[in-house]
Amino acid sequence: MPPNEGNVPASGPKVGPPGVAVVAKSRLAARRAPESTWAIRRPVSARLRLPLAFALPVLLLVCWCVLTLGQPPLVGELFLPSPVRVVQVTLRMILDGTLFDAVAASAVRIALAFAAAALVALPLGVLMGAFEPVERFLDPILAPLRYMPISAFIPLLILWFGIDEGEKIAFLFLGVFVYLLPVVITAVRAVPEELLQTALTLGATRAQVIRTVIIPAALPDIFDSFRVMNAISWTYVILAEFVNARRGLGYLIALAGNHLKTAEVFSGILVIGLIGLATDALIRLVNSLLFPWRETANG
Amino acid sequence: MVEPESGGAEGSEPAREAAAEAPKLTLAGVSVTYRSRSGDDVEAVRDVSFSIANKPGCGEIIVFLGPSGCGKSTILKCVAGLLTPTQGEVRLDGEVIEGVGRDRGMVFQAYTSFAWLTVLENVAYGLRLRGVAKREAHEAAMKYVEAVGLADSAKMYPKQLSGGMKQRVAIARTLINKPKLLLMDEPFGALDPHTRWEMQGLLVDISRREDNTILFVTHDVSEAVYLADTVFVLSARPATIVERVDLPAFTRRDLGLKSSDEFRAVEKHLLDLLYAKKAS
Repeated sequence: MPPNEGNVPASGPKVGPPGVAVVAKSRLAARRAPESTWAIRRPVSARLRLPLAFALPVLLLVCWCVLTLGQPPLVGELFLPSPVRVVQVTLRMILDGTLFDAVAASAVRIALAFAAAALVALPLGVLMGAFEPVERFLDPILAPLRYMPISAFIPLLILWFGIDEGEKIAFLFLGVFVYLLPVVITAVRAVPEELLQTALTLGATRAQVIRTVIIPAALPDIFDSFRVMNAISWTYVILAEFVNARRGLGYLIALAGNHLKTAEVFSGILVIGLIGLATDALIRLVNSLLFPWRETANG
Repeated sequence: MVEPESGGAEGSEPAREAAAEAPKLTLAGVSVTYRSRSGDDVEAVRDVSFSIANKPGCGEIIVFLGPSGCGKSTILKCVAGLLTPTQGEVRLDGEVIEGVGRDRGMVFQAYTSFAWLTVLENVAYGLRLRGVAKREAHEAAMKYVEAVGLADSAKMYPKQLSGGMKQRVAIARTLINKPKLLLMDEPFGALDPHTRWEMQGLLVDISRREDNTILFVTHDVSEAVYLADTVFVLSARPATIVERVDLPAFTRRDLGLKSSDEFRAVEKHLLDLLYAKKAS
């Protein structure tokens, strides 16, 4: 019998010392082969993907049902409304327009604050990333800002901007700005030195290097960060709307909480989650359309 | 081929030469010392002087051969104007070089194709900087794209190109500016041997066709012998010129050349120079 080198599984038991050795060897090979689901960094097989993705949501839903759908329910409606109730409330809010109104109000605030933050952070970040004196000049003020809880500024912002739209947009602006600026600086710094030197030896002026090399090279990284900025925005908009708002998702949740309408709170939170997923997908789509030339790790 | 070295670094000598014979490029007593991140002074280049004759209508390849990290690139960057020498001066056609200029294009080992531009747009980049209209620039660029053998890939983005193709783009993009000097900093260092060989052939072709003087930095002895009309052998850091070697004009540069006795003899001579210096 030819020696089995491990690439063909040994078939059936073998007799004699050499045979034993062959079997043992092929077992070892089988263990080393990349079959295990738990091999480090091993992609999950297509068959397992859907069950894995649905397992936890289904489990939670089952727990939720068990806790809330009994007669009487194990947990009171005030603390944990039933899924049926949450769906009913959500449908009602969709139909009477309150939900759409709230989402629109929050989205407009985010859009305005985001546009303002980008308008300041992009040019400033490019200058700070390109010219070290500018960075050294501004960093003593901007660096500590990054570590301050932005919500601590709410009382100040109320004093300065009042309690209407201005205050909320200023707060959101601040929240996005302090995260966006370092991202822009890092993206500008990450542009390889050789790219700048190539442009210079091809006759580019400093302004041309910034316009034709630094900005196009840094833009994909900056646009990627918009996904994080989007998440941050939705977190902060809720916080902003807890203070004297008359519209918006945060207002809707705060109001529901104050009136002990727990189902509406749940509904608002779920809607925010869904919006987050949808906007994230949208940003990714837009980025892939904007930067088709981008070199990625897998091709 | 190359003018005799000017020996010392007297300040008046380059000026006198410029008036008389007008060398194309002169380095006089160039030293570069820079401060590292840890605050130490690092001497990268020490007292490098040489000049290269002006030979209109004839491309020439000058190779700087030295051990890795010896400061070869620093010399090239001084010529490019990306670095200012701590001492000494660099003159191109008699003018002291101050800062970068598009008469000195540089090709790096790292791939520098602009990822957001197509091959054609990359090559046209230098013309577009000068305000040449898009159509005109692209027409001119197409000739250079064809010259480096990328006609079929003109509309592709760099992410679709191999390493060798990216370096072809870099060469064409530099040539379109018609630079007096083409500065190449180990441009084929990251390529596989076969592609490397192809690119060396392409470069020799280009130097025969175009009127540029090519300054080429490498630590690969065989590459130096294959490409060079003149080799400057450099010492380990701080880089100084160990010897200038004017190479015989190999009549045929093809596959057989690298295994010919003539080629091997030059290769051995350069290796001896490199290792003799290291041992001392």
